[in-house]
Amino acid sequence: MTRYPKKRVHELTDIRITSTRINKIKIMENRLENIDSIVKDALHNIEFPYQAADWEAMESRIENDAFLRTRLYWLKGGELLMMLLAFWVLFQFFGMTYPQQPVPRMESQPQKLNIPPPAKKNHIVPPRKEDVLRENEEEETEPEQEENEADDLHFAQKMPVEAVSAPVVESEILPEVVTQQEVEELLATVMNDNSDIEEKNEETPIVEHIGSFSERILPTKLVLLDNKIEGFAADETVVEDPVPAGRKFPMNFSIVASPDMNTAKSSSYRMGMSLGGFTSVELSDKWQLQTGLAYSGKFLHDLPMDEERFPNMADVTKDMNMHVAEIPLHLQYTIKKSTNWRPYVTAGVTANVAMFADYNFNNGGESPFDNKREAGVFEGGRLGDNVYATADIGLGLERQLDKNLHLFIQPTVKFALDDVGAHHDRINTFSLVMGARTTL
Amino acid sequence: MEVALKLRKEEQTLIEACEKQERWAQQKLYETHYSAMIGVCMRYAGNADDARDILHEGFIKVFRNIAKYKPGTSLKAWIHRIMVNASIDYYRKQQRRRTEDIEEAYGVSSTETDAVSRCSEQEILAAVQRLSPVYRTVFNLYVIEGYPHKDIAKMLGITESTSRSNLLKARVKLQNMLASEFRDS
Repeated sequence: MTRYPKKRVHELTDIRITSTRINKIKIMENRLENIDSIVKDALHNIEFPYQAADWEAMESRIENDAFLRTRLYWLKGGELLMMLLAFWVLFQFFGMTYPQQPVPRMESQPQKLNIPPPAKKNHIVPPRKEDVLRENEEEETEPEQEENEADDLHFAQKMPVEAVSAPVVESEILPEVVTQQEVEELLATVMNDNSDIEEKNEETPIVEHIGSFSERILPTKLVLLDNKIEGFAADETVVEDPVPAGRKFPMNFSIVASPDMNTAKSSSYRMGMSLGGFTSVELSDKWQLQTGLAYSGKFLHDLPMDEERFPNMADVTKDMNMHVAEIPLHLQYTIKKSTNWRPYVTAGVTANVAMFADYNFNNGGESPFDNKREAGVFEGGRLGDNVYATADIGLGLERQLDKNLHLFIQPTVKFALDDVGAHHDRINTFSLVMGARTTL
Repeated sequence: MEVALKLRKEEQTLIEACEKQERWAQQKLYETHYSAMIGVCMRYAGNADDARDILHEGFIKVFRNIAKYKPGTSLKAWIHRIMVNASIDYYRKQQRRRTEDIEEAYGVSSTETDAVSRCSEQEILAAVQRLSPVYRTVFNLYVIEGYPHKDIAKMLGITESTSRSNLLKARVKLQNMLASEFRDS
């Protein structure tokens, strides 16, 4: 009898076990071949009687499919329009030149007219109320200075307080260059219409040309004023400040669209798109506060599962389609305001709400959650699962096309501060925001 | 010969009308192939409702792509292929990873195989439907459709050896289920 060393005996035993296992499988396969033929014979040509009710379900499904396809075409059409808009914006930025703006800038000087100074400084002008109050305070401390500026058209900004309540006879917005002749013609017209005023005080000129400039671009105004007439009860004909109080904080409205690059985990990214409307308030010449509402489609492929949270799904990836409502709160700072261009930086946070969410799992994986957990808020999903915040920072360049129309392009990076969905995905986004802004 | 030509012409008219999205033609095509195709879907689905879902999804694809059908080939085979693809899509959505011990398979006896042969079509179908989606799909694709493991692995995104293993497990489970069914009856 051959004696093997102990180790060798173990190896032989292993081989014997493996051999036995293979034999068993082979035997089993032979036995099971019968199953194949039995099942194939039974099921290969199995048929069921036609159910009329099934056609009704099919018909409604066809209609639903047609509706979805129509919606898809609209969506694609919208995307095409956005792309055209994007190209147009780029073309406007780099491919065209525009005539100089016909309206004067705040840095330009108001035109002086050779009109005799008023006999009294009781002319009214339409400055901002806060300017009037401020200047009134200055007047109290420096009364002599006012006398020196009597013939200066800037005197409008140095106006005595009693003029605030004086009546405005007529005001009219003229083109930016007001000639002496135009003023005289208008003056003659007005004086004819107001002969009773002239009778009372013929010596006093009643016209002042005022370059009324807000901090932003405003047209030059010609304001025809009467004097403070003796016996006139000013309080009875108080005219409201021609500069609306709302102008204190001018508001802008923008429509924007952007191709987005969404990333979640390092290995997965895909283009998405955003579309929305924003409104902003000009807090000062440099600062704006912006908010609004935008839709963002985030579509990610082969997104790996979080290994820490889902250790047994390490080899599973998923496709994620998420439709998100974005509510930003941004502070915008104008770096420099030139004739037609305005570079700016913007920063802030955005609240993102996943309205609809859809997940498809790959590599044989299956969702660890029920449908409810993976649904968007509009599909009955939990709000807590579907809300996340991003910190945003962007650099923008705005081009003024018209007095009230600006186009801008603004690359923006959005860092996720939080994760979203039942799988805790963290989505970062780079957006190339493009849009148009108008001012009210 | 004339009858065959007439049938082919009718089929061609039906297809052309389906291309124009005419509802009567869609209904006619649905009715004609319903019985056979619901049978295919029943084999891949876990229950009748899911089978109807697969069937309808398949027919949506048929109506959408009817223009791609090549005249002269078998329309039934073309629709059958679409139904199988729809079933695979269904599997991808519903699949469930199961790890069952292969050792369970060793206790198969020849008497149980004999018992299986006495089961009815409905009992066999019910047993197939009780299999897990991955076993059911592999079993159907290999045994009934005749695909090799290599193709099945590609279609389902699994390895060839997994496909083989799943087929083996499916067979054993079927065997056991049908044998117990027979014993109970």
